[in-house]
Amino acid sequence: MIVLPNRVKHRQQSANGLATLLFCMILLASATTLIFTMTRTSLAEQRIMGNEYRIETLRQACEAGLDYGHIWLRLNEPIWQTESNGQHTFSLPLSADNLGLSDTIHIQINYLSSDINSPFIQIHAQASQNNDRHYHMRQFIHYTVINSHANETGFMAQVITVPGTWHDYE
Amino acid sequence: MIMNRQGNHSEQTGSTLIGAIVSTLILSIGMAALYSLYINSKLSSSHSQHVSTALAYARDKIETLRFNHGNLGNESGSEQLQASEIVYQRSWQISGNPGQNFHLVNVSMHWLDSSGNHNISLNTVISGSTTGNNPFLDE
Repeated sequence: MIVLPNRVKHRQQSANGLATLLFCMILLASATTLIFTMTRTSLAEQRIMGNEYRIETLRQACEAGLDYGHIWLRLNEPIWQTESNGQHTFSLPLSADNLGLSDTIHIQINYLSSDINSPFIQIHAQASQNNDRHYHMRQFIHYTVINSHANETGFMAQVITVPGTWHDYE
Repeated sequence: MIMNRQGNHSEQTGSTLIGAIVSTLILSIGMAALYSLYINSKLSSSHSQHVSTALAYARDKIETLRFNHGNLGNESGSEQLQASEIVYQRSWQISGNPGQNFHLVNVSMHWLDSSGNHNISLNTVISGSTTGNNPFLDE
């Protein structure tokens, strides 16, 4: 059996201690990197989810605006204003309070007709929150006045949604 | 000389032991912190997934109600839905009688997971109609 001198034994033990420390540090660094990567993924998921919820809230507000715009147009006659580009527009004054929705969402409905005699009207609804988020929806409808004698039986128009013309964008 | 040698020996053995203890201590503290971070990350990740699922259920209900807009009345309802071991309570409330011009609709989702109780809700307006279920015709 070979007996090592004390100096060699001590160096070996010291090296063992240093190796343990280094191993632990490397293990800790690897685990830290792994966990931080997972945390970043989790944060990204949270952000996506938060955006999805806010956008969905705005989208439903926009849908509400479009629906309300349909009803309003069925029962009321818009007073068109001619723009400089020849298009005819009408804005419906509306706030989220009218619809009973959250007061942090503002809804604006605009009607657009390229020709005053055209039966097609584009309804454009925009919902916005107090921050910089906006959501837009637009749809073409076929509009026919059924009864324009407002003083007698009330104004009535037929509003038919044109399939395939619905479009939304943020 | 012998005394000196013994003294050096005990000192060097001590530093090896201290190195091991310190490294174990650092590793334990670091691992505890990382474990806590990992658990929080996992919880928030599953919470995100649950919110997405709940949002999909709420959206689905609103789309169903919108399609059946001709039959909407002043009503409320509630049902339970299960997805990936989480039970979601879906409640809806419609304000507005049949034949009215529009209905205010509120759909809320409630669920319980390992991080507690959660709620989300969506509000919208659905136009009324008495002409049936044709989604393209509002008369």
